[in-house]
Amino acid sequence: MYTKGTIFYISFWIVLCGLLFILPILGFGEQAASYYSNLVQVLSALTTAVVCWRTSSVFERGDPMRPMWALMGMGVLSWGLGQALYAGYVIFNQGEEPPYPWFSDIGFLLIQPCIFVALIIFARALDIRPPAWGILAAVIVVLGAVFFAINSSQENIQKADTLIAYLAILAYVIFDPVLLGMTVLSASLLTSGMLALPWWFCFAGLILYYLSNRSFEILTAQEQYVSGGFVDLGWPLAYMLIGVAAMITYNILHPDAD
Amino acid sequence: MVPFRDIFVGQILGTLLARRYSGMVTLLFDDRMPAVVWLGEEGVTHAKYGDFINDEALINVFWRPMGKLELIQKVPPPKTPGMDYLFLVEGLTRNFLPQVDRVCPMLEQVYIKRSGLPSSQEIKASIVTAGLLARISSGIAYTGLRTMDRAGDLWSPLMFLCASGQVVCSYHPTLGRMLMVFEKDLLPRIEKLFGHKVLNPFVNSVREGLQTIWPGWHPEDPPELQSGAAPYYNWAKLIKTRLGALGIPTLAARCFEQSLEKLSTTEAKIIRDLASP
Repeated sequence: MYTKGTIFYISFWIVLCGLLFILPILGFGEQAASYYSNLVQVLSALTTAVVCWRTSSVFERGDPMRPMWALMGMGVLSWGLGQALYAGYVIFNQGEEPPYPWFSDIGFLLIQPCIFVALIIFARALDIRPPAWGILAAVIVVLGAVFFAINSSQENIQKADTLIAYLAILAYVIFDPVLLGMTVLSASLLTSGMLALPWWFCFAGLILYYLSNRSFEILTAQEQYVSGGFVDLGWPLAYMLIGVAAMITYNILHPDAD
Repeated sequence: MVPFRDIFVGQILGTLLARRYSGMVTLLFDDRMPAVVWLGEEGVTHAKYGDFINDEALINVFWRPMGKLELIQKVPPPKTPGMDYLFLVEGLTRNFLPQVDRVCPMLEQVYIKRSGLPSSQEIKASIVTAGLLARISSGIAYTGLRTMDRAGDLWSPLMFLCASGQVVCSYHPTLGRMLMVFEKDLLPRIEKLFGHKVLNPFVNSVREGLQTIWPGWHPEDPPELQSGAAPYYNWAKLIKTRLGALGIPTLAARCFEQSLEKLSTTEAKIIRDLASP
């Protein structure tokens, strides 16, 4: 399952992300780090989308895994496009952040429903009744995450001066915990078998994605977020994990691919 | 009624004769017109199929290889003149033998063994059937017999022996063993890929599906001989359909194909035929 291609993919993104640590040592400033970080984020999302679609294409028509992986790819792509818009705005406005909410937020927000629906398709396809611990864990995680999200978004909610801004914050508050809960519930369905392995990578990626979102939100609320900081690495690494999941799934069907 | 397949009605009657069945057997075919045959201590005594009775009725249904049947024991035969069943069987197997490898190709997979009935006068009188009976001895697969004869020469005496109850044909040592080997290879593949949470419901659904059609039959044991290959068709189809229902049909189909690759080309083709809709 861990083919040369998978190992190369993991190494490639770890090296790209690791360069962010080296840039200050090499004498590059904050702006260069910001540009580089945004580039890595956009590239990781676009590459992962392509990897997910490749995996989708090897499943026969009518197989639930086909739309499932296509939706995963679509979700990651929407995030990548959102990030590209965000980065473009920053570049063309001399480092100034885009207003909130902006068009980039459409991309950021679309990833959650896409992946949520993908996970529902996955869970329904398996047709396994989730274990009690899985349901309980999902409920606890959703409640905890909603509580955490509301607390960390307090300042943003107070700052919201338009209905659209308020709705965007609300969407971030609701979508992330629901996606996280669905991730935990789906993870509880598979505990053994080769198919479980890619899913654990996928779930790890989604949890890292959630933690990155929360960290970004907290730092932004505290006005401590700096583009190009280490927190930016959470997203590319999360997409790398989802990409690895897609590659392993592909390799199950095509063991001699690499 | 239980289905039968890849066994001629004549063979079914022979199987019932071999176990000294006494009672009525109702057979139903695609034309929905039932055929009823009575068996007693004297053998097959009466038959009815629509307006046809006895010889005419049996001539119409003798070579049908598929349908449904029901056995009702201890039913007395009609009080009308009976038939000379063995004389009819001799004529049908000698002069009206269908092209077996075309009508019922799966019959080439049967395992033949002697029933224990004492040899009838007709068999003793025929050198060919007596010789064949001797070669069958304690049991032999048809493919083993075929290596000694041209297939065309074999079916006529073999069908006579089957229909007269001297020998019985079973698919258990051939198709049953083949499917067991196949399933034994398939299940660990499913577990390896999907995990035990998916494997256990899969195994249960196949076994429950079989129990619905064949109550009390476990694939490890031979089914009722008069059902022919029908239980094995059901078993193979259930494996394939339940695999398709695992939720990830592409991966399930891969497991199925990988297990087929472990078998010989001929065996893989047979299992594909059994599992095909």
